[in-house]
Amino acid sequence: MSSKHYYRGVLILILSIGITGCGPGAKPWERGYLAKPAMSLQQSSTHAGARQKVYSSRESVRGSASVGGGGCGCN
Amino acid sequence: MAATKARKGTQAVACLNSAAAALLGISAPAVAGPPLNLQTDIEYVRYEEEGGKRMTVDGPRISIRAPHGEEAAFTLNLSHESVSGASPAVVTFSSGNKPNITLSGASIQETQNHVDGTYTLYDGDRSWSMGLGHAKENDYRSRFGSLSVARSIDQGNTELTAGIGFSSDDIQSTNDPSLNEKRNTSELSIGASRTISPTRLLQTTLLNRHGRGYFNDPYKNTFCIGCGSVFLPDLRPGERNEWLLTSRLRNHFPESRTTLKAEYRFYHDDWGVNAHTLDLGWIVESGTPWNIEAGVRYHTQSEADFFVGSYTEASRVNQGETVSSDYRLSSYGTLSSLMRLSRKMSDASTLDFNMEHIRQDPSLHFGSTGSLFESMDAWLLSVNLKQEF
Repeated sequence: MSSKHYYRGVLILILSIGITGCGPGAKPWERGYLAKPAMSLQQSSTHAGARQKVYSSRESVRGSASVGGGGCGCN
Repeated sequence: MAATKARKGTQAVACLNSAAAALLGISAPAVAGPPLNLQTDIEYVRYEEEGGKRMTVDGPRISIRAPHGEEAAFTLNLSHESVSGASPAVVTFSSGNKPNITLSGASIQETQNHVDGTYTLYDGDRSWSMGLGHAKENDYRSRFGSLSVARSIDQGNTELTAGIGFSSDDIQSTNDPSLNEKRNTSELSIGASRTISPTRLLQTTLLNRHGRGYFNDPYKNTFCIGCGSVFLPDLRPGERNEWLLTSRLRNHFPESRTTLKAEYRFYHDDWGVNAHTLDLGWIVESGTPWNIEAGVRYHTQSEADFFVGSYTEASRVNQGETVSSDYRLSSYGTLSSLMRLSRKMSDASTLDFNMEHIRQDPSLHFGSTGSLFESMDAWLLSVNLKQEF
């Protein structure tokens, strides 16, 4: 990894973890909007799987789903 | 004033505690619990490149999630895809000329089957999951598994996760019946999800993947005219170490009844590939049974150290050295635009229509023109039905 990419990656990591850790949160009675399907952070739907398969077959990057089953990557 | 300062101080401490917990890998996102009822997610997918002149993929994908008692759930995913068409097989370099790409012809006909299952146990603010799966193609077989743990802290506002995964792959070739190679991969991930506010969620995941074995593409070759007419089969390093950092944001805007979905991914591997991917979606609730989502995805990547993209580079490669002209290892950008129409059929079922246009082009590479030989357009279309029983 070039030093430029290394430092950029470390900076992104620190910022991401820092931002993830911030915020007052929500009380149990304030979670109505969070329960909407559009707010789901899960990547487990069939359509997310189809997109991941397409892009991992056409780009050099395989996503962050569980390991295996991505295909040969040939063709 | 004092109360405000005290509240800010408490938030700062909570923020630091959560960040420290994430750094220590204590583990990740909110533990929701098993579903109350059986849930199914069925989709039919069609993918085609260059109006069907290159690769075409068709097939169904099914996901079933079922409760097992009050403290466990089982998820089963199945897919069957028919793949047909042509793909770049040989890239020929001659002095002064553009690379000449020879397609495989309409010779590729295969099916791809995938099955995996995950069993999750819930115990208060924790959960444990174990997954196993199998994927099979004409020339490829993969067996894989995973273990993960999740813990919810801070009154459910923070979820920490950690997971490991492994896969064992067998690679063969329809062009070479004697080829039978193996590749083993292991994966380690940690993540944290945080409820920032009643309308905002953020998740960050760090993943390391290490593979060892056969990474070559047995169907691709490089040919250099004028430098001894050297015929170079695709040859890649026998190891690959990858890092992925992914952040996801969800932000709902109650006044306009819209939701922003944003995902950024940074990727680095020891083959010299660095990539940045930004995926944005905007969901509009119309107040009728119809909802709409519009999105855009941008990906840019650098080329692998051993990618050969010109006559000059090809003429320097000796027999036995790592080399590849696989376009996926070149530098380029991808720009996609997507649209989803979603129809709520009842309180328990939703029908989605998904359309996504994908364009790969060297000029889309961030900062400078990439080394991809030619641009490509593709469509991903699907119909999806989600049902709860």
